[in-house]
Amino acid sequence: MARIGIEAVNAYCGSAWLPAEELFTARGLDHTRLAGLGLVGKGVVLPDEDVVSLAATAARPLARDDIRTLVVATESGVDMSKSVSTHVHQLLGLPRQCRLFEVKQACYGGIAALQAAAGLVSVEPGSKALVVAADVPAVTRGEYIEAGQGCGAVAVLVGDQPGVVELSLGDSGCYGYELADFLRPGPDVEVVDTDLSLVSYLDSLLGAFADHCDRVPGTDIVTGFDMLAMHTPFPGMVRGAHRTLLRKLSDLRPDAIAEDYRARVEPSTRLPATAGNIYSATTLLAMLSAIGHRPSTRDQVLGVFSYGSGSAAEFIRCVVPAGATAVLPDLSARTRLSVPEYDRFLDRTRLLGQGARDVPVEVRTEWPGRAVLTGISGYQREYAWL
Amino acid sequence: MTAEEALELLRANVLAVLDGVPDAVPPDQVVAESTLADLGLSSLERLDVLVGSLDDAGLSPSVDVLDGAHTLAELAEVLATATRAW
Repeated sequence: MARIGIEAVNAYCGSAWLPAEELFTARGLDHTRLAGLGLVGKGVVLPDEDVVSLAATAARPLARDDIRTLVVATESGVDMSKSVSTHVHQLLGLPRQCRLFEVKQACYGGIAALQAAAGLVSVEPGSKALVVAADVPAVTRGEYIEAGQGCGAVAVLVGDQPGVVELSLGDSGCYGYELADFLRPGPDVEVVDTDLSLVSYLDSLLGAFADHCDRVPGTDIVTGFDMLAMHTPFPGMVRGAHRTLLRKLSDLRPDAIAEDYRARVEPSTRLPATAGNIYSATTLLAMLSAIGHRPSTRDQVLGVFSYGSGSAAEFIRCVVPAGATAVLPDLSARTRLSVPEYDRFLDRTRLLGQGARDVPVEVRTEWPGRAVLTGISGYQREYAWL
Repeated sequence: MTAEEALELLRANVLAVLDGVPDAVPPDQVVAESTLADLGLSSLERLDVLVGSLDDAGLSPSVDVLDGAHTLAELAEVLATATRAW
């Protein structure tokens, strides 16, 4: 079987951000919970951005004229029929001989799109696929979840020269069942049963890993992987999931489990801790964080777990080749907002979701180098590059 | 495991978590009618109670056990049922 995987990756986590501490103070939330959540801050979508502009901005450095498939994973699509991919395709100037579609399954969408793209590349040898996972959460003001609701996109180029991540096709573990732990019945409404969702995450992690072990007998969660990256709604969830997994599947004592977390898992949470949860894109962001923070001169085996509410989950095994490089986004370059500025931006963002009609947009030229939404005329969205 | 035993197991896990929580409710207020949210536990602390209790009962984390149960008494009932089925 041909080697297939990620040839290049790029992330855009917004041009502005808000520290979690400031949001906790402004909303009157209990600061003692912040350490457990592990959140530092989150990206904030600007008033001239939507999921299309975020996706295009992340994907632009990877655009090339031989891309055969462009798939966007999102739960923030701007139309019930037309895919976000069509807008991104236009913004990137890709050829018309290109397959365009969108996938959705909550936070699992990015990994689902990656697997679909890898499958398509495997049957069209030599072809390239561009996968972009992007989301703009419906922010739930005043709830603890708000501090983790980021924005942004991660783009990956999939092909047969996998210099960043080589996928192990055909042996991933899957686990899914219907569950109402998180619903998004409209573009600006999120309904979450936190306890159900957190337990489902653990249930799915154990189930997906067990399915992977059925396909690759003898796999050991401790010795079989140099690094682990998981869907990261907030780093505390990943720490708890890792602890549960190792309590179940290893003989490690609590202090050894904590050390194992620091060594193999924590690097994957650094970007999500500062960017916030980007839903469909978060597992890809965790992978990028792990690779970028743990460079090595030898091949490293990376275990990846993705969970999407509703629910669907997958555990995949891949290899990060020796010397692989992944450029981390410079999150320190983002503009730090005050809470009143953030609230004003949120008010504008709520006007730009699916179904928005005849909405003027003020383009913010002080943040260059990105795609922007210039206006909505009727239901038609117009975009430009700054 | 009986429902009474399961309730004691849950109370023990709640008290263990509350031990590290500032301004926690007094132990005598951890009663069968309490929900984990009533007790002021964060989502991660609630997860610790649920997963710890399931683990102590020899069960894996499962939404089938949690779905629809809110008070400690309700959780104890489903925990007891699950252990009998197991």
